[in-house]
Amino acid sequence: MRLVEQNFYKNYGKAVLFVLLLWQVLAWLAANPGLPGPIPAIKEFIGSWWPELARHTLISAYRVLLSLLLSLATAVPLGLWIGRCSRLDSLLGPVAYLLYPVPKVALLPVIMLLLGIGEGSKVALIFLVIFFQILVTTRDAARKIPEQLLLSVRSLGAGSWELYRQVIIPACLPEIFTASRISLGSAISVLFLSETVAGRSGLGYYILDGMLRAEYGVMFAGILAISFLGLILYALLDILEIFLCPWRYI
Amino acid sequence: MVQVEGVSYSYRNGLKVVKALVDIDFKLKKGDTCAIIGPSGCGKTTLLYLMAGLLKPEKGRVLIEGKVLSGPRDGTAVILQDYGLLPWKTVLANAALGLEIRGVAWRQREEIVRPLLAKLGLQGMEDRYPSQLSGGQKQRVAIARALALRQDLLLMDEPFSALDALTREELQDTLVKIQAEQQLTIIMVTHNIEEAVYLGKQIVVMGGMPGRVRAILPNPGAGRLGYRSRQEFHHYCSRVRGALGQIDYEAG
Ligand SMILES: Nc1ncnc2c1ncn2[C@@H]1O[C@H](COP(=O)(O)OP(=O)(O)OP(=O)(O)O)[C@@H](O)[C@H]1O
Ligand SMILES: [Mg+2]
Repeated sequence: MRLVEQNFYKNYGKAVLFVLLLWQVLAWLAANPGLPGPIPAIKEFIGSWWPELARHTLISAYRVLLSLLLSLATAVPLGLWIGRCSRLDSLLGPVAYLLYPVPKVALLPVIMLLLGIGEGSKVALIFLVIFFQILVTTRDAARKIPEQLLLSVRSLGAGSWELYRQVIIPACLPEIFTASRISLGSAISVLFLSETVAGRSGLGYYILDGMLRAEYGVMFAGILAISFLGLILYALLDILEIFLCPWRYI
Repeated sequence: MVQVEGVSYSYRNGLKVVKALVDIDFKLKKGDTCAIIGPSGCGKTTLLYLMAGLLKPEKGRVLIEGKVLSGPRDGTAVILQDYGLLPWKTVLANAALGLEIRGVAWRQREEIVRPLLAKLGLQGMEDRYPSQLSGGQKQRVAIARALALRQDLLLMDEPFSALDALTREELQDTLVKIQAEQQLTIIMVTHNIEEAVYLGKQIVVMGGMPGRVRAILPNPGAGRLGYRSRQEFHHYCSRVRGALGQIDYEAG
């Protein structure tokens, strides 16, 4: 195992331990059934994992991943293109700035009216929120590629497709990963919200249902599941970045 | 081989127009070397970009091998000052980039590039990334990338200016050897009088803003190893210094 990977596992282990400790301390301080300690929560988590909690976790994971992939697939090419074409940027830049700050969550009722309360509206809401985050970050990354780098590769005979492949895409990859991490956080919070508003599936529903039935163990099992889901997705992003941007890990 | 005929160029940023070059004229024979020297801001880099086909002249034309240049030319290699190498590619992949863009298969690229890297003293560094190299080693990779395509014209923009004196002289010698071996035509932009005299059989002295050609000095002794310690060398250095000084005098 390479050193990078060893550190990787060690760091994640430490992080989990630290959060569990903090949680235990808080639970002691609060001394309230609404905030059980990590041990009863983990017991509840293990007890209800299969098949009920697992099903909700997978559904939530599917929604987050689908909307992240959809936004990446659309916002990254568009962002790269706008960033490399100043005329397009002066046209579309202001449009992005106008739409970016609109609180998309407030549009949830509209989206539900248009797309119903199924998968479509949840994915669409997350998509709307993170699309602009990825778009703006990618565009800014594409803008600040040193002109000399592009010129020297053009002088080797590169056409515009080769320029994208050899220079523009790799130069922006680290920032695209940063945008993905930020978006993943937003995606999970928005997902939670949309799942508590409508439908009978997903971790948002599971957690809210636990709360309404005053089963705080269940509630925290759901919260554990959602944080593990986040952790696993972040870890996947980290691994993918080590794999795709090896020059940054030397 | 290279003819620059009455070339002028202006940069345009929106409504602002910056005149960079006016009526540049010079010629260079195949297999010759030329150093372009002049004060900062006189348009040396702009002239190099024009000869590389990366910019188009506003007036006049650039001919290479008798053909009017209209874009980057297959037989021309360009080495720019800092940003030549891609940080995300290894030494081997960077040196093979030109070949990759031309669609040469991986196996063949390696066959061409590995011996070149070895010749330039980069053996064992093929899998490193540019950030793991010294400045001199980076320039060697850039030279390898230019040579890999077996081009006949090499354009360089202050290639050795960021290096210490020792490394710079070492690379100048490397260049002299390669030039003699392959009959390369080399045009190099430089700030350094000794470098211009050591490498340029023809020295184009530029000056002014916008830039013009102030003098073209023949320098037949250039391109020989050991030229640096000759009497002539110092004589030509003073002549170039004189030509540059005149510019200051005229401007002041
Ligand atoms: N992209 C640009 N837009 C506007 N003006 C520019 C641009 N690039 C260069 N110039 C101007 O054109 C003139 C010539 O620039 P150039 O870079 O060719 O000079 P140089 O001789 O290479 O200088 P140096 O020795 O400092 O590298 C300068 O006055 C510069 O300010
Ligand atoms: Mg310059």
